[in-house]
Amino acid sequence: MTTNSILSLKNIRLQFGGIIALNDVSFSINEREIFAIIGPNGAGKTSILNCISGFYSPQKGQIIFKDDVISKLPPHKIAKKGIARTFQNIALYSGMSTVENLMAGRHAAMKQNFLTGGLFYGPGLNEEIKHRAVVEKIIDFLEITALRNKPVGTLPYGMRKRVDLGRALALDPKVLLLDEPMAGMNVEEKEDMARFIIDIYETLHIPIVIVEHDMGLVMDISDRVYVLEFGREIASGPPSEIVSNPQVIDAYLGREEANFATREKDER
Amino acid sequence: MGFDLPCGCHNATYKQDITIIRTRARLIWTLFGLLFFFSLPYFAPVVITQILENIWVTAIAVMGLYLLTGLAGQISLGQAGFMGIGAYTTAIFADYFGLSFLFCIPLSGLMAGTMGIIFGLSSFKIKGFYIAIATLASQIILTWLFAHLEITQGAWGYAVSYPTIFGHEIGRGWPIYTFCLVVLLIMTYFAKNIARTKTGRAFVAIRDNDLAAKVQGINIFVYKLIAFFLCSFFAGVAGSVFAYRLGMVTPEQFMLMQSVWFLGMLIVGGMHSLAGVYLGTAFIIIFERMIKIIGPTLQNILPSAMGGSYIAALSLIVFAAIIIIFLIYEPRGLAHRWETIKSIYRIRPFPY
Ligand SMILES: Nc1ncnc2c1ncn2[C@@H]1O[C@H](COP(=O)(O)OP(=O)(O)OP(=O)(O)O)[C@@H](O)[C@H]1O
Ligand SMILES: [Mg+2]
Repeated sequence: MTTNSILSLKNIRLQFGGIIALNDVSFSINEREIFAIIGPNGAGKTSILNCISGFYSPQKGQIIFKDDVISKLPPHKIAKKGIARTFQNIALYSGMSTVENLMAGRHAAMKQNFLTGGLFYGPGLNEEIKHRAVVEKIIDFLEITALRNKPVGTLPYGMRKRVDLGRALALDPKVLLLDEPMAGMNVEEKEDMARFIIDIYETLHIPIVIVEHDMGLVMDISDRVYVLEFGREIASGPPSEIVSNPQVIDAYLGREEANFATREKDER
Repeated sequence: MGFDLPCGCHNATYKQDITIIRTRARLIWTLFGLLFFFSLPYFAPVVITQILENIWVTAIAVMGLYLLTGLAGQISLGQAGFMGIGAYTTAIFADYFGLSFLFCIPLSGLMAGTMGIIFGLSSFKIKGFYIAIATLASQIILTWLFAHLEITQGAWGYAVSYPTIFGHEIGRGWPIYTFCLVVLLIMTYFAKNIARTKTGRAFVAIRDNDLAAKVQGINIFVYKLIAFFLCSFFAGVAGSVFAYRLGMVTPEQFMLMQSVWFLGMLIVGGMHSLAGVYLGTAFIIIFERMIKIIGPTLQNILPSAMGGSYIAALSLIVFAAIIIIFLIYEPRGLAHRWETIKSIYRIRPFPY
């Protein structure tokens, strides 16, 4: 593997009873890339992210972040190392406003406790102000200033996805895992989201792992693509290679394109 | 959690944005309210001040529940038991060892809080509904211990004398009233700030989405324990002030039913705000008092065959009815009603 890899999975095998969700999954992500994971429904994409963030513990294999094995750590410790993620089904704190969600996302970076926080004077107060400034920067970056004090439960779907991304950024991530960040969005929202993802990568220099169904987008923004089917790798490489890989076309792209073709025919 | 600012009011700095009293009108109202409640014993009848003292003390215990149940989403049916620990701690240390309230109140809180952690440890393995049952068990164990341990002196309990400051007794009437109110205000200050800083946000995160909380680096188990600690700490402080105020501590003051009343107050007031704690506590205590006043009159009117037992059960029946009505029609409690009314004035003169 390359020396500047930040996160690598080695021979991961994950089983739920008789179901093998992941079988011999290995890949490694560099510090400078957007890495896409694609595959049909139920292929095991979310399961990979769940293994990385520590929700699932694989029966076999290792996950290495920088130089540490993290596959046995609990989720909150993995998060503290700098692995942030968003969820396929938005998982915001619905009782809080946008700002509060992002402030909650600063948890790992904050040092105060309930005593100093309860006093709200000196260090307790200073920390609030300092982290509030960081959060406001993220809010500006994601162009959600107008939503700052809105309860997130009232926001439209696309905006909630954006707040979810903001909360992940609030963790000061060293690597960012995005589980279908554009699912269910209209074209315009998708373009905004793609722009933010590229911005995060280019201006904040955060490597990104993205699970996404929209092939066009994946091919546009990612540096490398990993294709999964029934929990197994069927191909991996730069997008240009993936689109012409016969196995991938057969398993995934082909089906999509076939669907697409028939749909177009229907419309005509 | 408030979201909108009054019309024409903007925040220039983050510090301004996180202060509570932001407008001059709000400052004036707050000062006026404080002045009113602090001066109340000088002109109000004793009945009123006594009811208010009761409200101040009870609100401290309910505030603990607000942190645990309202914010962190864990139900406790043992709050009265932890209040009892605080009361007994104060009784023993104040009367037996003659220590000052400045020492006894925090110590009572810490004792109750420590017990809260011990019982809260069960939340490592169990979740949700089962935690409620575990706290119920803790309540029953504590009541039993209060009645049977040697150190708690069984059914006799303890007599506690009024607290003293610089040799002066904080006695009956305005002194003890002020004492209760000051402790309540200090505890409110703490609760409010805990709620709006790191710890409070972690609590809400756990309540709203524990998976997301984990990937945000929140150690769920530790924060649940902190929630149990704080909840019981507040109960302990409430118990301490309760003991000072009432002058006696006996086991039947801290029974299961009291814990249920506390939860009821939180539900009626609204779980998600401190205003709800005040409103719910006041509502239930005043209501209970009214039943006590109306009760005897009712007894005269109703056929004697139904008699006293009917009256005794009346407050419980109406209490249950109120809780159910609130759960169905206003699950966000009185505090939400209050916010709705306030927001009408807040956006004046441009109500768009
Ligand atoms: N907690 C679980 N218990 C049992 N089976 C599971 C669990 N999580 C995932 N699976 C199974 O693992 C397989 C992969 O699921 P996963 O959610 O990772 O797919 P996915 O690629 O993310 O699909 P989608 O595109 O629909 O999001 C599925 O067969 C699923 O049923
Ligand atoms: Mg998925």
